[in-house]
Amino acid sequence: MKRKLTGVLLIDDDDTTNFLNQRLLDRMKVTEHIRTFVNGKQAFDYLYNVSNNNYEEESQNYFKPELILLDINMPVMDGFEMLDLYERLNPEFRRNIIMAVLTTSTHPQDTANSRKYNAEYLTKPLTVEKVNALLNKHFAGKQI
Amino acid sequence: MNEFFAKIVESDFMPHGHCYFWKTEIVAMNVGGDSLIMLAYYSIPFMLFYFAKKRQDLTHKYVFLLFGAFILACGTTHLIDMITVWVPIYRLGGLVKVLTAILSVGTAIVLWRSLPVLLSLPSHEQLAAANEQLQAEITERERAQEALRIANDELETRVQERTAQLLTANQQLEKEVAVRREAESALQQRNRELRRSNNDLDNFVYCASHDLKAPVLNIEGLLNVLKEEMPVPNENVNQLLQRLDKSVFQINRAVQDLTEVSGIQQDSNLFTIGEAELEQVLKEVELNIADTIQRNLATLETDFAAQPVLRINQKDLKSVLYNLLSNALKYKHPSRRPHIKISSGIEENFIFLSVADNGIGIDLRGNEEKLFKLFKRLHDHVEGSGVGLYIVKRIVDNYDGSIAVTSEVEQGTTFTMRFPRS
Repeated sequence: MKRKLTGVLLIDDDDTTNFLNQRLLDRMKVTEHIRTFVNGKQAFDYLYNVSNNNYEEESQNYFKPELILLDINMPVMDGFEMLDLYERLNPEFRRNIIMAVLTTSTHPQDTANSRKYNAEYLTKPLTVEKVNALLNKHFAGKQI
Repeated sequence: MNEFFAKIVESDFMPHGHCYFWKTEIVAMNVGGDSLIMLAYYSIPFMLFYFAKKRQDLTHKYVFLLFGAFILACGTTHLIDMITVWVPIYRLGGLVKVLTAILSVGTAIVLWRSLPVLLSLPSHEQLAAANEQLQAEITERERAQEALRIANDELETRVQERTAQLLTANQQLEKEVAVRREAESALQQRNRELRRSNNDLDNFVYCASHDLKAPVLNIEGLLNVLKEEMPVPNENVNQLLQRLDKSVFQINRAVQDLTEVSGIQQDSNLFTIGEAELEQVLKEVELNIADTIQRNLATLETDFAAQPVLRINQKDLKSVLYNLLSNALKYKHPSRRPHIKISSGIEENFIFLSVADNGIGIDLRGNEEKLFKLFKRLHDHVEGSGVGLYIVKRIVDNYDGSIAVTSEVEQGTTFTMRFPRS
Protein backbone atom coordinates (compact mmCIF):
# COMPACT_ATOMS: atom_id res chain seq x y z
CA MET A 1 0.00 0.00 0.00
CA LYS A 2 1.37 3.31 -1.07
CA ARG A 3 1.41 6.20 1.30
CA LYS A 4 -1.14 8.90 0.75
CA LEU A 5 -0.04 12.20 -0.69
CA THR A 6 -0.19 15.26 1.56
CA GLY A 7 -2.50 16.92 -0.90
CA VAL A 8 -3.46 17.46 -4.54
CA LEU A 9 -4.46 20.63 -6.36
CA LEU A 10 -6.77 20.42 -9.37
CA ILE A 11 -6.68 23.54 -11.55
CA ASP A 12 -9.23 23.61 -14.35
CA ASP A 13 -11.83 26.16 -15.41
CA ASP A 14 -14.34 23.35 -16.04
CA ASP A 15 -16.03 22.24 -12.79
CA THR A 16 -17.20 18.99 -14.27
CA THR A 17 -13.63 18.09 -15.12
CA ASN A 18 -12.59 19.00 -11.61
CA PHE A 19 -15.51 17.03 -10.23
CA LEU A 20 -14.64 13.92 -12.24
CA ASN A 21 -10.92 14.15 -11.48
CA GLN A 22 -11.56 14.72 -7.79
CA ARG A 23 -13.91 11.76 -7.71
CA LEU A 24 -11.32 9.60 -9.46
CA LEU A 25 -8.58 10.56 -7.00
CA ASP A 26 -10.96 10.13 -4.03
CA ARG A 27 -11.88 6.66 -5.11
CA MET A 28 -8.23 5.81 -5.68
CA LYS A 29 -7.58 7.13 -2.17
CA VAL A 30 -4.57 9.05 -3.34
CA THR A 31 -4.92 11.73 -0.68
CA GLU A 32 -7.15 13.17 2.05
CA HIS A 33 -6.77 16.71 0.79
CA ILE A 34 -7.89 17.91 -2.60
CA ARG A 35 -8.53 21.50 -3.55
CA THR A 36 -9.88 22.72 -6.86
CA PHE A 37 -9.32 26.09 -8.54
CA VAL A 38 -10.91 27.51 -11.70
CA ASN A 39 -7.95 29.54 -12.90
CA GLY A 40 -4.20 29.93 -12.50
CA LYS A 41 -4.42 33.09 -10.45
CA GLN A 42 -6.50 31.50 -7.66
CA ALA A 43 -4.14 28.56 -7.54
CA PHE A 44 -1.03 30.71 -7.51
CA ASP A 45 -2.39 32.94 -4.72
CA TYR A 46 -3.06 29.83 -2.69
CA LEU A 47 0.45 28.43 -3.30
CA TYR A 48 1.99 31.81 -2.54
CA ASN A 49 0.25 31.90 0.83
CA VAL A 50 1.20 28.34 1.64
CA SER A 51 4.82 28.88 0.70
CA ASN A 52 4.95 31.90 3.03
CA ASN A 53 3.15 30.04 5.84
CA ASN A 54 0.51 32.69 5.58
CA TYR A 55 -2.34 30.53 6.90
CA GLU A 56 -3.72 29.10 10.10
CA GLU A 57 -2.07 25.83 11.03
CA GLU A 58 -5.34 24.22 12.05
CA SER A 59 -7.17 25.03 8.87
CA GLN A 60 -7.96 21.88 6.93
CA ASN A 61 -8.31 24.02 3.83
CA TYR A 62 -4.62 24.90 3.72
CA PHE A 63 -2.05 22.23 2.99
CA LYS A 64 1.09 21.86 0.98
CA PRO A 65 0.32 19.70 -2.08
CA GLU A 66 2.58 17.04 -3.53
CA LEU A 67 0.81 16.89 -6.87
CA ILE A 68 -0.69 19.64 -8.99
CA LEU A 69 -2.77 18.92 -12.10
CA LEU A 70 -2.90 22.01 -14.29
CA ASP A 71 -5.07 22.79 -17.30
CA ILE A 72 -3.62 25.03 -20.02
CA ASN A 73 -6.56 26.96 -21.43
CA MET A 74 -8.17 28.94 -18.66
CA PRO A 75 -9.56 32.44 -18.31
CA VAL A 76 -7.89 35.12 -16.15
CA MET A 77 -4.55 33.30 -15.96
CA ASP A 78 -3.73 30.30 -18.10
CA GLY A 79 -1.55 27.33 -17.22
CA PHE A 80 1.70 28.60 -18.71
CA GLU A 81 1.31 32.04 -17.14
CA MET A 82 0.85 30.36 -13.83
CA LEU A 83 3.91 28.18 -14.39
CA ASP A 84 5.92 31.35 -15.03
CA LEU A 85 4.96 32.72 -11.63
CA TYR A 86 5.25 29.35 -9.90
CA GLU A 87 8.88 29.06 -10.95
CA ARG A 88 9.66 32.17 -8.92
CA LEU A 89 8.48 30.57 -5.69
CA ASN A 90 11.03 29.26 -3.21
CA PRO A 91 12.79 26.24 -4.80
CA GLU A 92 12.85 24.43 -1.46
CA PHE A 93 9.05 24.74 -1.33
CA ARG A 94 8.72 23.47 -4.88
CA ARG A 95 11.15 20.57 -4.47
CA ASN A 96 8.59 17.95 -3.48
CA ILE A 97 5.76 19.10 -5.69
CA ILE A 98 5.03 17.26 -8.92
CA MET A 99 3.58 19.55 -11.54
CA ALA A 100 1.57 17.91 -14.34
CA VAL A 101 -0.07 19.67 -17.23
CA LEU A 102 -3.39 18.02 -17.98
CA THR A 103 -4.94 19.12 -21.22
CA THR A 104 -6.92 18.12 -24.29
CA SER A 105 -4.35 19.83 -26.47
CA THR A 106 -1.92 17.78 -28.50
CA HIS A 107 -0.47 20.87 -30.08
CA PRO A 108 3.29 20.38 -30.46
CA GLN A 109 3.91 23.82 -29.03
CA ASP A 110 2.09 22.90 -25.81
CA THR A 111 4.06 19.69 -25.34
CA ALA A 112 7.30 21.55 -25.98
CA ASN A 113 6.34 24.25 -23.45
CA SER A 114 5.60 21.66 -20.80
CA ARG A 115 9.07 20.19 -21.18
CA LYS A 116 10.51 23.67 -20.80
CA TYR A 117 8.77 24.07 -17.43
CA ASN A 118 9.86 20.66 -16.25
CA ALA A 119 6.23 19.60 -15.99
CA GLU A 120 4.65 16.26 -16.79
CA TYR A 121 2.32 16.19 -19.77
CA LEU A 122 -0.95 14.29 -19.55
CA THR A 123 -3.83 14.25 -22.00
CA LYS A 124 -7.42 14.22 -20.85
CA PRO A 125 -9.29 12.29 -19.74
CA LEU A 126 -7.51 11.46 -16.52
CA THR A 127 -7.68 7.73 -15.87
CA VAL A 128 -6.67 5.35 -13.09
CA GLU A 129 -3.85 4.09 -15.31
CA LYS A 130 -2.45 7.56 -15.94
CA VAL A 131 -2.56 8.46 -12.25
CA ASN A 132 -0.89 5.21 -11.27
CA ALA A 133 1.82 5.65 -13.86
CA LEU A 134 2.54 9.12 -12.55
CA LEU A 135 2.59 8.04 -8.94
CA ASN A 136 4.82 5.10 -9.69
CA LYS A 137 7.24 7.32 -11.53
CA HIS A 138 7.59 9.90 -8.78
CA PHE A 139 6.62 8.29 -5.49
CA ALA A 140 7.47 4.62 -5.93
CA GLY A 141 10.75 4.95 -4.02
CA LYS A 142 9.15 6.78 -1.12
CA GLN A 143 6.72 4.18 0.03
CA ILE A 144 6.20 4.05 3.76
CA MET B 1 77.66 104.55 -133.48
CA ASN B 2 77.58 107.79 -131.59
CA GLU B 3 77.28 109.45 -134.90
CA PHE B 4 74.31 107.25 -135.74
CA PHE B 5 72.42 108.26 -132.64
CA ALA B 6 73.57 111.84 -132.91
CA LYS B 7 72.17 112.06 -136.43
CA ILE B 8 69.16 109.89 -135.66
CA VAL B 9 66.73 112.46 -136.97
CA GLU B 10 69.22 113.99 -139.40
CA SER B 11 67.87 114.25 -142.91
CA ASP B 12 71.13 113.91 -144.73
CA PHE B 13 69.78 111.43 -147.30
CA MET B 14 67.58 111.68 -150.31
CA PRO B 15 63.87 111.67 -149.53
CA HIS B 16 62.16 108.47 -150.61
CA GLY B 17 59.84 110.45 -152.86
CA HIS B 18 62.68 110.65 -155.30
CA CYS B 19 62.52 106.91 -155.75
CA TYR B 20 58.90 107.40 -156.79
CA PHE B 21 60.05 110.22 -159.07
CA TRP B 22 57.52 112.20 -157.16
CA LYS B 23 54.92 110.62 -159.36
CA THR B 24 51.72 111.79 -157.81
CA GLU B 25 49.83 108.51 -158.11
CA ILE B 26 52.70 106.43 -156.64
CA VAL B 27 53.27 108.88 -153.80
CA ALA B 28 49.56 109.02 -153.17
CA MET B 29 49.17 105.25 -153.20
CA ASN B 30 52.18 104.64 -150.92
CA VAL B 31 51.41 107.46 -148.52
CA GLY B 32 47.67 106.76 -148.61
CA GLY B 33 48.19 103.04 -148.05
CA ASP B 34 50.74 103.64 -145.32
CA SER B 35 48.50 106.15 -143.58
CA LEU B 36 45.48 103.84 -143.65
CA ILE B 37 47.61 100.90 -142.49
CA MET B 38 49.07 103.08 -139.74
CA LEU B 39 45.62 104.22 -138.62
CA ALA B 40 44.45 100.64 -138.57
CA TYR B 41 47.64 99.47 -136.81
CA TYR B 42 47.34 102.21 -134.21
CA SER B 43 43.72 101.45 -133.54
CA ILE B 44 43.96 97.65 -133.29
CA PRO B 45 46.34 97.57 -130.26
CA PHE B 46 44.03 99.77 -128.22
CA MET B 47 41.18 97.47 -128.97
CA LEU B 48 43.37 94.51 -127.94
CA PHE B 49 44.46 96.28 -124.75
CA TYR B 50 40.90 97.22 -124.02
CA PHE B 51 39.81 93.61 -124.57
CA ALA B 52 42.63 92.27 -122.45
CA LYS B 53 41.76 94.71 -119.73
CA LYS B 54 38.02 93.92 -119.79
CA ARG B 55 38.48 90.16 -119.99
CA GLN B 56 40.07 89.59 -116.63
CA ASP B 57 39.87 85.82 -117.03
CA LEU B 58 42.12 85.73 -120.16
CA THR B 59 44.71 83.02 -119.69
CA HIS B 60 47.15 84.37 -122.33
CA LYS B 61 46.95 88.06 -121.62
CA TYR B 62 50.61 88.59 -122.45
CA VAL B 63 50.04 87.26 -126.01
CA PHE B 64 47.47 89.99 -126.49
CA LEU B 65 49.84 92.57 -125.07
CA LEU B 66 52.68 91.38 -127.32
CA PHE B 67 50.37 91.47 -130.34
CA GLY B 68 49.33 94.99 -129.38
CA ALA B 69 52.93 96.08 -128.99
CA PHE B 70 54.11 94.56 -132.25
CA ILE B 71 51.13 95.93 -134.24
CA LEU B 72 51.77 99.32 -132.67
CA ALA B 73 55.43 99.00 -133.77
CA CYS B 74 54.31 97.99 -137.30
CA GLY B 75 52.05 101.08 -137.37
CA THR B 76 55.05 103.19 -136.42
CA THR B 77 57.13 101.69 -139.31
CA HIS B 78 54.36 102.71 -141.69
CA LEU B 79 54.38 106.19 -140.12
CA ILE B 80 58.14 106.42 -140.62
CA ASP B 81 57.68 105.15 -144.22
CA MET B 82 55.18 107.93 -144.80
CA ILE B 83 57.55 110.55 -143.34
CA THR B 84 60.58 109.32 -145.27
CA VAL B 85 58.79 110.03 -148.54
CA TRP B 86 59.57 113.64 -147.75
CA VAL B 87 61.95 113.64 -144.77
CA PRO B 88 64.72 111.03 -145.11
CA ILE B 89 65.09 109.96 -141.42
CA TYR B 90 66.28 106.48 -142.42
CA ARG B 91 68.32 106.03 -139.24
CA LEU B 92 65.20 106.36 -137.08
CA GLY B 93 63.29 104.26 -139.63
CA GLY B 94 65.86 101.52 -139.36
CA LEU B 95 65.88 101.64 -135.61
CA VAL B 96 62.08 101.45 -135.51
CA LYS B 97 62.17 98.47 -137.93
CA VAL B 98 64.74 96.69 -135.73
CA LEU B 99 62.56 97.27 -132.68
CA THR B 100 59.51 96.10 -134.64
CA ALA B 101 61.45 93.06 -135.84
CA ILE B 102 62.40 92.14 -132.24
CA LEU B 103 58.80 92.53 -131.10
CA SER B 104 57.49 90.59 -134.12
CA VAL B 105 59.95 87.75 -133.80
CA GLY B 106 59.39 87.62 -130.03
CA THR B 107 55.67 87.55 -130.57
CA ALA B 108 56.04 84.82 -133.20
CA ILE B 109 58.13 82.70 -130.83
CA VAL B 110 55.79 83.23 -127.93
CA LEU B 111 52.81 82.47 -130.16
CA TRP B 112 54.53 79.37 -131.45
CA ARG B 113 55.20 78.14 -127.98
CA SER B 114 51.72 78.98 -126.78
CA LEU B 115 50.09 77.31 -129.75
CA PRO B 116 49.45 73.90 -128.09
CA VAL B 117 47.97 75.53 -125.03
CA LEU B 118 45.89 77.89 -127.16
CA LEU B 119 44.73 74.96 -129.28
CA SER B 120 43.62 73.12 -126.22
CA LEU B 121 41.48 76.04 -125.15
CA PRO B 122 37.90 75.03 -125.72
CA SER B 123 36.06 76.77 -128.42
CA HIS B 124 32.87 78.65 -127.76
CA GLU B 125 30.81 75.80 -129.28
CA GLN B 126 32.60 73.30 -127.19
CA LEU B 127 31.98 75.42 -124.16
CA ALA B 128 28.39 75.89 -125.14
CA ALA B 129 27.96 72.17 -125.64
CA ALA B 130 29.69 71.45 -122.39
CA ASN B 131 27.57 74.05 -120.75
CA GLU B 132 24.44 72.56 -122.21
CA GLN B 133 25.47 69.14 -121.01
CA LEU B 134 26.19 70.53 -117.61
CA GLN B 135 22.83 72.25 -117.62
CA ALA B 136 21.20 68.95 -118.58
CA GLU B 137 23.10 67.20 -115.86
CA ILE B 138 22.09 69.84 -113.37
CA THR B 139 18.48 69.50 -114.43
CA GLU B 140 18.77 65.74 -114.18
CA ARG B 141 20.36 66.06 -110.79
CA GLU B 142 17.68 68.47 -109.63
CA ARG B 143 15.06 66.05 -110.83
CA ALA B 144 16.79 63.23 -108.99
CA GLN B 145 17.07 65.41 -105.95
CA GLU B 146 13.38 66.20 -106.14
CA ALA B 147 12.58 62.53 -106.51
CA LEU B 148 14.82 61.84 -103.56
CA ARG B 149 13.13 64.55 -101.56
CA ILE B 150 9.72 63.10 -102.39
CA ALA B 151 10.92 59.62 -101.49
CA ASN B 152 12.39 61.04 -98.34
CA ASP B 153 9.15 62.78 -97.47
CA GLU B 154 7.25 59.60 -98.15
CA LEU B 155 9.64 57.68 -95.99
CA GLU B 156 9.36 60.28 -93.30
CA THR B 157 5.58 60.07 -93.46
CA ARG B 158 5.72 56.31 -93.29
CA VAL B 159 8.13 56.42 -90.42
CA GLN B 160 5.81 58.80 -88.63
CA GLU B 161 2.82 56.60 -89.41
CA ARG B 162 4.69 53.52 -88.28
CA THR B 163 5.85 55.31 -85.15
CA ALA B 164 2.31 56.35 -84.46
CA GLN B 165 1.14 52.78 -85.00
CA LEU B 166 3.86 51.47 -82.74
CA LEU B 167 3.00 54.06 -80.17
CA THR B 168 -0.63 53.04 -80.29
CA ALA B 169 0.32 49.37 -80.14
CA ASN B 170 2.63 50.14 -77.26
CA GLN B 171 -0.08 52.02 -75.43
CA GLN B 172 -2.46 49.15 -76.00
CA LEU B 173 0.14 46.73 -74.73
CA GLU B 174 0.74 48.90 -71.70
CA LYS B 175 -2.96 49.02 -71.12
CA GLU B 176 -3.12 45.27 -71.47
CA VAL B 177 -0.21 44.85 -69.11
CA ALA B 178 -1.88 47.15 -66.62
CA VAL B 179 -5.12 45.18 -66.92
CA ARG B 180 -3.27 41.93 -66.46
CA ARG B 181 -1.31 43.27 -63.58
CA GLU B 182 -4.53 44.38 -61.99
CA ALA B 183 -6.06 40.98 -62.60
CA GLU B 184 -2.97 39.35 -61.20
CA SER B 185 -2.98 41.48 -58.11
CA ALA B 186 -6.69 40.82 -57.71
CA LEU B 187 -5.92 37.14 -58.04
CA GLN B 188 -3.14 37.40 -55.49
CA GLN B 189 -5.42 39.31 -53.20
CA ARG B 190 -8.04 36.60 -53.66
CA ASN B 191 -5.39 34.00 -53.04
CA ARG B 192 -4.33 35.71 -49.84
CA GLU B 193 -7.94 35.95 -48.73
CA LEU B 194 -8.48 32.31 -49.52
CA ARG B 195 -5.35 31.33 -47.68
CA ARG B 196 -6.40 33.47 -44.75
CA SER B 197 -9.89 32.04 -44.72
CA ASN B 198 -8.38 28.59 -45.07
CA ASN B 199 -6.17 29.31 -42.09
CA ASP B 200 -9.09 30.76 -40.22
CA LEU B 201 -11.05 27.65 -40.99
CA ASP B 202 -8.22 25.44 -39.81
CA ASN B 203 -7.91 27.49 -36.66
CA PHE B 204 -11.63 27.33 -36.22
CA VAL B 205 -11.65 23.57 -36.66
CA TYR B 206 -8.74 23.27 -34.25
CA CYS B 207 -10.38 25.46 -31.64
CA ALA B 208 -13.79 23.89 -32.14
CA SER B 209 -12.44 20.37 -31.85
CA HIS B 210 -10.40 21.41 -28.86
CA ASP B 211 -13.37 23.06 -27.19
CA LEU B 212 -15.62 20.13 -28.04
CA LYS B 213 -13.16 17.69 -26.61
CA ALA B 214 -13.53 18.81 -23.01
CA PRO B 215 -17.33 18.47 -22.80
CA VAL B 216 -17.25 15.21 -24.74
CA LEU B 217 -14.69 13.80 -22.33
CA ASN B 218 -16.84 15.06 -19.50
CA ILE B 219 -19.93 13.34 -20.85
CA GLU B 220 -17.94 10.13 -21.16
CA GLY B 221 -16.68 10.53 -17.61
CA LEU B 222 -20.10 11.41 -16.25
CA LEU B 223 -21.61 8.44 -18.04
CA ASN B 224 -19.11 6.17 -16.32
CA VAL B 225 -19.84 7.80 -12.98
CA LEU B 226 -23.55 7.40 -13.61
CA LYS B 227 -23.09 3.70 -14.25
CA GLU B 228 -21.19 3.34 -11.01
CA GLU B 229 -23.62 5.37 -8.94
CA MET B 230 -26.95 4.02 -10.20
CA PRO B 231 -28.53 0.82 -8.94
CA VAL B 232 -28.23 -2.21 -11.19
CA PRO B 233 -30.13 -1.17 -14.30
CA ASN B 234 -32.75 -3.22 -16.06
CA GLU B 235 -32.42 -4.43 -19.66
CA ASN B 236 -34.02 -1.33 -21.21
CA VAL B 237 -31.79 1.05 -19.37
CA ASN B 238 -28.81 -1.11 -20.27
CA GLN B 239 -29.68 -0.77 -23.95
CA LEU B 240 -30.01 2.97 -23.57
CA LEU B 241 -26.63 3.08 -21.85
CA GLN B 242 -25.09 1.07 -24.65
CA ARG B 243 -26.50 3.48 -27.23
CA LEU B 244 -25.20 6.38 -25.17
CA ASP B 245 -21.78 4.74 -25.04
CA LYS B 246 -21.80 4.27 -28.80
CA SER B 247 -22.85 7.85 -29.44
CA VAL B 248 -20.15 9.16 -27.12
CA PHE B 249 -17.62 6.95 -28.87
CA GLN B 250 -18.69 8.31 -32.25
CA ILE B 251 -18.57 11.93 -31.21
CA ASN B 252 -15.22 11.30 -29.58
CA ARG B 253 -13.81 9.87 -32.78
CA ALA B 254 -15.22 12.72 -34.88
CA VAL B 255 -13.58 15.23 -32.59
CA GLN B 256 -10.36 13.22 -32.74
CA ASP B 257 -10.46 13.26 -36.55
CA LEU B 258 -11.11 16.97 -36.62
CA THR B 259 -8.15 17.58 -34.37
CA GLU B 260 -5.99 15.48 -36.61
CA VAL B 261 -7.15 17.32 -39.73
CA SER B 262 -6.53 20.75 -38.27
CA GLY B 263 -3.25 19.47 -36.89
CA ILE B 264 -1.83 19.13 -40.41
CA GLN B 265 -2.16 22.82 -41.02
CA GLN B 266 -0.94 23.68 -37.54
CA ASP B 267 2.15 21.59 -38.10
CA SER B 268 2.76 22.91 -41.56
CA ASN B 269 3.23 26.34 -40.04
CA LEU B 270 6.28 25.12 -38.21
CA PHE B 271 7.57 22.48 -40.54
CA THR B 272 10.98 22.44 -42.04
CA ILE B 273 11.20 19.99 -44.89
CA GLY B 274 13.51 17.10 -44.29
CA GLU B 275 14.16 13.96 -46.23
CA ALA B 276 12.36 10.76 -45.46
CA GLU B 277 13.56 7.31 -46.42
CA LEU B 278 10.63 5.44 -47.86
CA GLU B 279 11.82 2.01 -46.76
CA GLN B 280 12.34 3.08 -43.18
CA VAL B 281 9.08 5.04 -42.81
CA LEU B 282 7.14 2.18 -44.38
CA LYS B 283 8.66 -0.18 -41.79
CA GLU B 284 7.36 2.03 -38.99
CA VAL B 285 3.90 2.15 -40.53
CA GLU B 286 3.90 -1.63 -41.02
CA LEU B 287 4.71 -2.01 -37.35
CA ASN B 288 1.77 0.24 -36.42
CA ILE B 289 -0.70 -1.82 -38.40
CA ALA B 290 1.05 -5.16 -38.02
CA ASP B 291 -2.00 -6.86 -36.51
CA THR B 292 -4.27 -5.66 -39.30
CA ILE B 293 -1.80 -6.91 -41.90
CA GLN B 294 -1.56 -10.28 -40.20
CA ARG B 295 -5.30 -10.60 -39.67
CA ASN B 296 -5.92 -9.97 -43.37
CA LEU B 297 -2.98 -12.13 -44.51
CA ALA B 298 -1.90 -9.16 -46.60
CA THR B 299 1.33 -9.00 -48.58
CA LEU B 300 3.32 -5.87 -49.35
CA GLU B 301 5.57 -5.34 -52.35
CA THR B 302 7.88 -2.35 -52.64
CA ASP B 303 10.01 -0.79 -55.36
CA PHE B 304 11.89 2.27 -54.16
CA ALA B 305 15.01 1.65 -56.28
CA ALA B 306 14.55 4.64 -58.56
CA GLN B 307 13.75 7.10 -55.77
CA PRO B 308 14.53 5.83 -52.26
CA VAL B 309 13.93 9.18 -50.50
CA LEU B 310 11.28 11.91 -50.57
CA ARG B 311 11.67 15.54 -49.60
CA ILE B 312 8.91 15.40 -47.02
CA ASN B 313 8.64 15.33 -43.26
CA GLN B 314 8.80 11.82 -41.83
CA LYS B 315 5.66 12.46 -39.84
CA ASP B 316 3.77 13.51 -42.97
CA LEU B 317 5.01 10.58 -45.03
CA LYS B 318 4.05 8.29 -42.21
CA SER B 319 0.56 9.75 -42.12
CA VAL B 320 0.21 9.39 -45.90
CA LEU B 321 1.36 5.77 -45.96
CA TYR B 322 -0.65 4.93 -42.86
CA ASN B 323 -3.87 6.24 -44.32
CA LEU B 324 -3.37 4.71 -47.77
CA LEU B 325 -2.34 1.29 -46.41
CA SER B 326 -5.20 1.32 -43.90
CA ASN B 327 -7.60 2.09 -46.73
CA ALA B 328 -6.13 -0.63 -48.93
CA LEU B 329 -6.70 -3.16 -46.16
CA LYS B 330 -10.06 -1.78 -45.16
CA TYR B 331 -11.42 -2.02 -48.69
CA LYS B 332 -9.92 -5.40 -49.51
CA HIS B 333 -11.69 -7.73 -51.87
CA PRO B 334 -13.63 -10.40 -49.93
CA SER B 335 -12.45 -13.24 -52.13
CA ARG B 336 -8.71 -12.68 -52.27
CA ARG B 337 -5.83 -11.78 -50.02
CA PRO B 338 -4.85 -8.13 -50.10
CA HIS B 339 -1.68 -7.38 -52.04
CA ILE B 340 -0.36 -3.82 -51.93
CA LYS B 341 2.34 -2.53 -54.20
CA ILE B 342 4.15 0.65 -53.12
CA SER B 343 6.60 2.21 -55.53
CA SER B 344 8.42 5.45 -56.17
CA GLY B 345 10.25 6.93 -59.13
CA ILE B 346 10.91 9.88 -61.37
CA GLU B 347 8.52 10.98 -64.05
CA GLU B 348 9.52 14.04 -66.10
CA ASN B 349 9.53 16.91 -63.59
CA PHE B 350 7.95 14.94 -60.82
CA ILE B 351 8.80 12.44 -58.20
CA PHE B 352 5.95 10.04 -57.79
CA LEU B 353 4.87 7.72 -55.02
CA SER B 354 2.12 5.24 -55.76
CA VAL B 355 0.14 2.80 -53.68
CA ALA B 356 -1.76 0.15 -55.63
CA ASP B 357 -4.07 -2.46 -54.16
CA ASN B 358 -6.16 -5.34 -55.44
CA GLY B 359 -9.23 -4.41 -53.42
CA ILE B 360 -12.84 -3.81 -54.31
CA GLY B 361 -12.09 -0.68 -56.31
CA ILE B 362 -14.04 2.53 -56.50
CA ASP B 363 -16.61 3.56 -59.04
CA LEU B 364 -14.97 6.86 -59.90
CA ARG B 365 -17.67 8.20 -62.20
CA GLY B 366 -18.48 11.60 -60.70
CA ASN B 367 -16.78 10.62 -57.48
CA GLU B 368 -13.17 11.60 -58.06
CA GLU B 369 -13.71 15.07 -56.59
CA LYS B 370 -15.70 13.73 -53.68
CA LEU B 371 -13.09 11.16 -52.83
CA PHE B 372 -10.68 13.62 -51.24
CA LYS B 373 -13.26 15.72 -49.45
CA LEU B 374 -13.62 15.85 -45.71
CA PHE B 375 -16.16 13.43 -44.24
CA LYS B 376 -17.12 12.07 -47.68
CA ARG B 377 -17.40 8.34 -47.84
CA LEU B 378 -18.04 6.21 -50.90
CA HIS B 379 -18.44 2.94 -49.04
CA ASP B 380 -20.51 2.22 -45.97
CA HIS B 381 -19.89 -1.44 -45.41
CA VAL B 382 -16.92 -0.77 -43.15
CA GLU B 383 -16.25 1.75 -40.37
CA GLY B 384 -14.72 5.00 -41.43
CA SER B 385 -14.89 8.70 -40.83
CA GLY B 386 -14.06 10.15 -44.25
CA VAL B 387 -10.95 11.81 -42.96
CA GLY B 388 -8.07 9.65 -44.21
CA LEU B 389 -7.90 10.68 -47.86
CA TYR B 390 -8.60 14.27 -46.94
CA ILE B 391 -5.57 14.23 -44.70
CA VAL B 392 -3.46 12.62 -47.43
CA LYS B 393 -4.51 15.27 -49.92
CA ARG B 394 -3.88 18.10 -47.51
CA ILE B 395 -0.39 16.84 -46.80
CA VAL B 396 0.37 16.41 -50.50
CA ASP B 397 -0.99 19.92 -51.13
CA ASN B 398 1.30 21.31 -48.47
CA TYR B 399 4.26 20.07 -50.52
CA ASP B 400 2.85 21.57 -53.75
CA GLY B 401 2.15 18.06 -54.91
CA SER B 402 -0.87 16.44 -56.46
CA ILE B 403 -2.72 13.20 -55.94
CA ALA B 404 -4.55 11.20 -58.58
CA VAL B 405 -6.56 8.02 -58.40
CA THR B 406 -7.29 5.31 -60.93
CA SER B 407 -9.54 2.44 -60.11
CA GLU B 408 -11.46 -0.43 -61.58
CA VAL B 409 -14.40 -1.88 -59.70
CA GLU B 410 -13.64 -5.41 -58.45
CA GLN B 411 -10.00 -5.06 -59.58
CA GLY B 412 -8.29 -2.54 -57.37
CA THR B 413 -7.29 1.05 -56.82
CA THR B 414 -4.07 2.99 -57.37
CA PHE B 415 -3.27 6.29 -55.69
CA THR B 416 -0.42 8.24 -57.26
CA MET B 417 1.12 11.28 -55.63
CA ARG B 418 3.39 13.58 -57.59
CA PHE B 419 5.80 16.06 -56.02
CA PRO B 420 7.78 18.71 -57.89
CA ARG B 421 11.38 17.63 -58.39
CA SER B 422 13.25 20.65 -57.13
